[in-house]
Amino acid sequence: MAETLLPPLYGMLAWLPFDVLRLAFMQRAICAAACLAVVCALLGVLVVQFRMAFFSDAVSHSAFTGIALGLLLGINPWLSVLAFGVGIGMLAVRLRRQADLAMDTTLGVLFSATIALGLAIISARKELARVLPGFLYGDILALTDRDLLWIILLTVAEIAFLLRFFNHLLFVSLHDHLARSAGVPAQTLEMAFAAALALLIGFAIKIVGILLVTALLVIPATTARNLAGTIRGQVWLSVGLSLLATFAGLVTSLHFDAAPGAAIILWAASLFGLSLLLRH
Amino acid sequence: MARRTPSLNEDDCPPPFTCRRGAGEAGHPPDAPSPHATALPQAPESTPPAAPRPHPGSSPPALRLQGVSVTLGGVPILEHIDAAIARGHTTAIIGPNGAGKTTLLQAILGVIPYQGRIEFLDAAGRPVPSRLGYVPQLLNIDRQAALSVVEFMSLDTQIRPVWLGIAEEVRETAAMALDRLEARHLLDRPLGKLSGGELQRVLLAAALHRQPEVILLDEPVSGVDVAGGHLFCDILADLALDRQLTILMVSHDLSVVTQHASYVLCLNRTITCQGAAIEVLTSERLLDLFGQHSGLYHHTPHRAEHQCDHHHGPSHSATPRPRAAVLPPSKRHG
Repeated sequence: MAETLLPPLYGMLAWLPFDVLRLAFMQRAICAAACLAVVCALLGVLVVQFRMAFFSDAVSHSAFTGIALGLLLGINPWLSVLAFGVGIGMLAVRLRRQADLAMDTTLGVLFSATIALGLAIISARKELARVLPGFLYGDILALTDRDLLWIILLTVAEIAFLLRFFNHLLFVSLHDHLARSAGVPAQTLEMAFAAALALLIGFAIKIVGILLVTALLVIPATTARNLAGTIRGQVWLSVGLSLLATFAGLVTSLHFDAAPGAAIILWAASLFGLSLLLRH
Repeated sequence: MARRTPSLNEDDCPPPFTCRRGAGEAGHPPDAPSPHATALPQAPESTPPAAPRPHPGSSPPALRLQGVSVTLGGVPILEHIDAAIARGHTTAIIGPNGAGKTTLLQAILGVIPYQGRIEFLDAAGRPVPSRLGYVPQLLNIDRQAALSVVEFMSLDTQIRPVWLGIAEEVRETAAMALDRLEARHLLDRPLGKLSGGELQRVLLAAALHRQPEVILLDEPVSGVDVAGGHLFCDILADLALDRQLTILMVSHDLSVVTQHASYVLCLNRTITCQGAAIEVLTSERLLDLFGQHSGLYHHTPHRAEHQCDHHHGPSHSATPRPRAAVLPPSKRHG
């Protein structure tokens, strides 16, 4: 499938007037980053509205435990990171709803414990330490065609999910009981959102690394919120700003030989600073 | 603009009690056509304002609670609540802080587990699926939030994400719902920047959007400026008359309750008294329910005027201030 779908995409990029886009690794990086930038910008609007920045930070940090488990069980660490993140994200939402605890309290306990477990295993097994930098900083320039295909698949699935449920999710975030009284299955939707978000975070770690995933979700959406007066405006601005920061970040990182993830977030944060000056 | 009284008429009062607010106090002149006839979807059985309506006790309640108990985290919040909410009337749930008012509202909304039975009944007394409109006190939204009123009102009426645009008919329906509450001008305003009163009107419009038979109000007009409170009170009274809506409100503000509720449920973990407002709201009962602090709330005409003065002095004035009227759009600009 990769042989039929990807070459035309690379071909299109090669037509653009940038020499750097003729490099295969750069073509893959640009495609993957563009996909994830769009999805992060879209989900980010809901993350900001649900005040789930801490949740996404916690899920991304649980990747430490995912890596450790994957290596202990002898499976691909990316797979275990995804599965563990989705499982723990859904568990957090369920616990909070059942125990009626505040999200940050629940997460504080749950995630601190899992991250501690992951770090304990990684520190005890020295050979695990060599895979860590890829997760910490992201390894977008080392993507394979297969990785890119998975990212495109994720993008399509996430956008399809949002096309169907965005309005209801936003409704739930505004008033849980009001949404439920209108027949919206709030708990199921919130669980599905947690799963979709955890899945996205698992993939986005490839781009910017564990430490900066939340920034990729939250900064463009918040920047757009400073400038927009409607959700429509916020969503499209968020997508535009996210793409802008991603491309600018990738190019700058090549130029200065810095980590692409860090450069992307620096661009996003600069745009946020600018938006504070232009605040509506 | 056609103007009519939002106050309850004689026939809205459950016999044998009579209203504190007499019929015709600020009503349309006897020779003027009643706007009821055109505004009411239930026009066929609408009667002239002066004709007596059936005894509310004789028609089945809109909502019946039987032995409702709620325990949260091992703590009993509500115990054995038995109540019947009169159809087409406003009932207020009153009680001190921590009495379980909000919990009872949540049980009726069906968003928390409870024991016992909560049934919605049709006019023949048969159980029917609930058709509830809920007006919460606030939304989880801050002033910076980018969400316009029309986007909010489209969230449960269109599947297509609001960022791909709002269908013309969805927008028009929202505009008409707001129009009935004199709030059409709020359509494109950011939700986070509305005043308390404006937000209440938007929330009520959104609730009415779904053609409910029972409306649940959580602390209406709390945090609402005086002018907004006036308008909201007017609108509520109009709705109760025009649409035969059953209104159930939770309020700690006795001036609102005395102005708007025909019936009162006193709640303090269990029902301590219930009945017609005029009978229940006596100083002894309030002292029982609220303890010594009831003095702070005790109803006098002056306090009531603060919220809804039209029932008293100003309704007699020769220059009426603009007020809400629940009229079809065709009646508005004539």
